[in-house]
Amino acid sequence: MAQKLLVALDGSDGSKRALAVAVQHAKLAKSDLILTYVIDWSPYSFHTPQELEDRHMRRESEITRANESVLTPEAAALKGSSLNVETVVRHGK
Amino acid sequence: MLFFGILAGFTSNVYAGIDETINAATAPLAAIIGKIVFFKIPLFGAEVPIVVLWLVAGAVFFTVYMKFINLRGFWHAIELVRGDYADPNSHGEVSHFQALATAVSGTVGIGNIGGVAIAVTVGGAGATFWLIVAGFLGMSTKFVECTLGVKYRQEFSDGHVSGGPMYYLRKGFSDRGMEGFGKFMGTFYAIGIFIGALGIGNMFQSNQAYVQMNTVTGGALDGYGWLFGLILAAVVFSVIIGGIKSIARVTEKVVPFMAIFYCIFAIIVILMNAGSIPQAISNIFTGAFTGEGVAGGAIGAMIIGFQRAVFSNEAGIGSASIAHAAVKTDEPVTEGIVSLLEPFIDTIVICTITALVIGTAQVADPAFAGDAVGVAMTSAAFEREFSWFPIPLAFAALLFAFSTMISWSYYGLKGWTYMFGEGEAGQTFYKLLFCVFVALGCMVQLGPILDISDALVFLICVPNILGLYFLAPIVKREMESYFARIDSGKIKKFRS
Repeated sequence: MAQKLLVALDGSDGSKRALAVAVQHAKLAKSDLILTYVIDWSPYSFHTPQELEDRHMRRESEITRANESVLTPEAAALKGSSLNVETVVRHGK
Repeated sequence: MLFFGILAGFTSNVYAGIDETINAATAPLAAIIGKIVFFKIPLFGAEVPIVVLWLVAGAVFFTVYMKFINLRGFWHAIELVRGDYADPNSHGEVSHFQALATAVSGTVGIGNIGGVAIAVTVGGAGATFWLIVAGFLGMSTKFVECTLGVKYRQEFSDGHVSGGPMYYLRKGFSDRGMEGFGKFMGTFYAIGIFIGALGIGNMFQSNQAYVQMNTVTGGALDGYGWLFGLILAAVVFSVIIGGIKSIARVTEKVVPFMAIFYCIFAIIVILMNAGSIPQAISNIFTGAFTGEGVAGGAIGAMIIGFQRAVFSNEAGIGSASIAHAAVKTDEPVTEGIVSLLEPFIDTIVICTITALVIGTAQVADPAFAGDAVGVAMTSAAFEREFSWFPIPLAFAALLFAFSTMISWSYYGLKGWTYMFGEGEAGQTFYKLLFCVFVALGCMVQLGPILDISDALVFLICVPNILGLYFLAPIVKREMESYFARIDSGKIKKFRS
């Protein structure tokens, strides 16, 4: 049964509990896990020209930080299990 | 308090001295540069500055050559800004809406309030018609320059980018085997935008903001220009050097709100004068073609309209392409298409509304403004209906001036780094210099210096538009390929 479970993480205890539940489900149903972190971002905000220029570099560093501080440690902790784990960082609401 | 008074008295004397010295030293130079840049030729009984003809000819050419991209691309521009084509995988990059908002904040300024009043005073009601025509044609020029700004920008190894006319002039001409000429044009443009950033983009703005605040407070700020200037300079300093984003963010948020607030009240004022609307509109059309009571007749009205339009929307100056070049995108054409909306919003919408406010007031009472000119005249037109309006208007003028200064500080910086490299120390020096000029703008009467800066902004249209002619075939190719891919469905909507 090809099934995917999406778990939103933000490093909080609540999200860790949600992950624990999702891991149990995934093991029983033999489904894949997608861990995601969403960086708060709106396409309708306002910036100075300097911020426009810095935006691309800032985006990269935001993604790196989200991976390093939240997603990668959780994914690493699940490495021993038989689960297929994928991590995704997105910008949005 | 006494000490304060003495200090103020002392400083104002010193400034008066500085004023005279600066004016005396620069007046002859300003006169010469002005004569050269605004060299006039007689045409159908009117005196026409060649540089204005050059701009108009360019705008007409690009409109025809790009097959009326200003009309064809309009709806697509709105779709882009709405995010219909935004790939979720590139969320977090600068959106089209953000790029547009930043560029509009840079152009919506004192010109939209005061410049229009000057156009109507000097060129009559008919100047409004030509202002709108110039805004419409300017959309095509903007499209070409913003596309090129992205296409020819310089990407550095650490990931940051610099772009704008100096880069597309240098690379564009050297691609065509004119390396030396390209270098000369690039540097010439960089010097022009650097000086323009200190004058029109800085001193003129801070000066007008001070004058407005002083008028509204009934002259309470007389002699405190230095204090007002220092405070304004400190705020600019905190944003461009201190990187205090909250101030910039507040302004960038308040400016669009102010622009909308301004338009809504303008429309209310126009509607309150509903009886005068038909006459005001008829004056605009008859004035445009007969030029009654205007020096130089219809041509005179046309020149004034075109000149003010360029001043307001900056199409042909190339400044907006510097801001658009900072945006990360795979399709340079999309930035060009979005930029079409800038002259539309700035000139066709906001300037026209201002012109109608003044026009309907004039019909109702030809002498409503007395001797007032510029921003004061617009303010008087609003005051007829809402006696309190000059206060929020002065506040709006201050914020418009501030956001224009922030944008121009970036344009000037890019001119500076083009000439002197991307070194941190040099950039900080430039930013400090910029802050000093903010303060200076409020302290001294800068007639001749502003004339020089004014002339230089028009002068950089010459290399810029020459470059646009040379590079237009490249833009056309990109544009046709882009629209072909849209039509064939290769570029997909992510949302409909």
